[in-house]
Amino acid sequence: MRILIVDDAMFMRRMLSDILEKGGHTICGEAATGKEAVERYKEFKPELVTMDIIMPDMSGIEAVKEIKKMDPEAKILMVSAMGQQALVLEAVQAGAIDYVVKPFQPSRVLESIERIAKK
Amino acid sequence: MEDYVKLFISEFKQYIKQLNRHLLILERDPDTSESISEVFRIFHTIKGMAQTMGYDPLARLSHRTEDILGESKKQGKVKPSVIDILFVIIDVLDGSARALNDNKELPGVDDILDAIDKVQKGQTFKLRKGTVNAERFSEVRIKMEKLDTLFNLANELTISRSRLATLSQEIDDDRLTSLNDTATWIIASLRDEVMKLRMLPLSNVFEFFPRWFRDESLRLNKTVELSVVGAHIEVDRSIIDQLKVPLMHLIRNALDHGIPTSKKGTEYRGKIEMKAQRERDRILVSVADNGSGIDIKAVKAKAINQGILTEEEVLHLNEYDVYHLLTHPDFSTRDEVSDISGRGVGLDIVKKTAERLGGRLLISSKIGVGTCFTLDLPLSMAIVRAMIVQVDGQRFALPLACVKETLYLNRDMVRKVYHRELLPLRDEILPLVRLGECMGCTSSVDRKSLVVIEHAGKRRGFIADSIVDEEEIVVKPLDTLLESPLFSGCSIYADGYPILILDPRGFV
Repeated sequence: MRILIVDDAMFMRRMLSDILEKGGHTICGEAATGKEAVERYKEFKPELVTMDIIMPDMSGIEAVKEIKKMDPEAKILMVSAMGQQALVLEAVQAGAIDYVVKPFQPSRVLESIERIAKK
Repeated sequence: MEDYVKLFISEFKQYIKQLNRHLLILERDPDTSESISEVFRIFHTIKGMAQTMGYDPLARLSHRTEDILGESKKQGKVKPSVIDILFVIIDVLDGSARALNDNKELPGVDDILDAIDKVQKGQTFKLRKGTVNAERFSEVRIKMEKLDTLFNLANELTISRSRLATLSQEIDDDRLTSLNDTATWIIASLRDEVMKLRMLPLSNVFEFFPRWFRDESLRLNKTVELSVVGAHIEVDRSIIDQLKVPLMHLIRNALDHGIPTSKKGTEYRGKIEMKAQRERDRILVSVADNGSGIDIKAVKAKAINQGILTEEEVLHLNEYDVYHLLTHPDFSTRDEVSDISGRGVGLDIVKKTAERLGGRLLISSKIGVGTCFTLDLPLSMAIVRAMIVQVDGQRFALPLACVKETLYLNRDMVRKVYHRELLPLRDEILPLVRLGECMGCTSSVDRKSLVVIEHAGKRRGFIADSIVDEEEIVVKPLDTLLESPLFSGCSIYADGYPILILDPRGFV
């Protein structure tokens, strides 16, 4: 799948991109803020977005709403730190398809993506 | 995995810097919502990163910090007690960054977590010694050794270029001349570019101070404002590396001795300004306070009291001399040794550092207005403009910064008092130094060249056979076996021969 990675920490983007590339996916772009995520989505039309929640400029939840407005078919996987259950729920209500919690197991991330791909 | 650790540390350190910046804003304006949100977000991000790396203490600490920040977010402002604990938390993060960097175990967080609990319950907190490592801001270092190697190679190339130029003149072939011209231009540009790479903005040192200053003024219970000006100015890293300690001394002095303890009901507000400004190829870094100024009478009395000078000697001192008494190693204007400035005033260290860097310490003061200490330094120590003098066929370099004037000297101009040779020059009596004798050379030249040098307020006349040139030279350190107080280093002259650089300190 062609994937857009959204996270404010470069460290997290790098780790995710390594996991996803090893799983045979292509990283078409990265974004560090919610606003950037919306821009990159328009630009790259990815098949999947991994989305952090707490970011500068625009939160991940707002970004999910914006992207869904643009493309109701958009597939977004939330990647959040522990203790953000309420926010994850909000993101799912806004249209996110699934979520994984940091610290994530590479297999857990890849399984989740496989499931999304089959949908 | 090692790559991830490196990436983690580098990003983590950036976050620590950002946190310090936002906390200083919040301390001034506790309801700055952008800063509250940013601090919260950064801790959240650190938590995610730490969890991913399995750095449990860091993850626990940031998770707990998020809790208290969540409350502050709701209230729309951060309480002073929360700001205090946040500063301590940042210190713990900083200690963790250093531990990771040095491949050591992460510091424990149980004490600080207890302290956070207390703050949340509205109680006061006290940390055991050792919870926070005292040295706070570790400097971010790039592999400068590699840059130094590059710089040295560029310099070697410059020397080879000079020899090529000489050869090209001798052979006088058009093709060689043209090649030499091109090489000259390329090599000069290369050296300039490498020099620029070594330049760093002063913010590398200045950044450390606002936070450090906050803690020091709190310890002294003084309300003082620190302003920082000119942090963008770039200087060679050989200077940057040496600036932190003297600036710490100067600011501590200003806090401890310059600024009076504020009295309730008075309008007085202490201000300290740390400022850098560039003046041609010099950099002036000053620390000025709006305190009570230096009391000349008190300084004189103290000098007598401490046996540094006699009552008779003190009578002849001008303002300049009195201020410079403060830099005497045995001098202290406080009877009790203060906790903050440590032993004495510490200005001797500042003065020595300035001189070692090829500069000087300037002091000005006015009673009731304040005091200003200025480090007048060269922008770079790696390349200096020097006057090349010759004695008995040997050439020596003299840093141009200390050369005041030059003149011809005939035998009949010199006066002898006991064994010392002196020259009456306008309204002063200039002690003379025969470089030939100091170097163990003999010289039969009748008419000599005299170079008047000034260092640390003292002037001397250096007698040489002739003045050869004025050049930019590359300073190289002397091998320890060759070290002598008369020389500060060596260089390679344009013709490929080594020359020694005279150190004025060894002669005055």
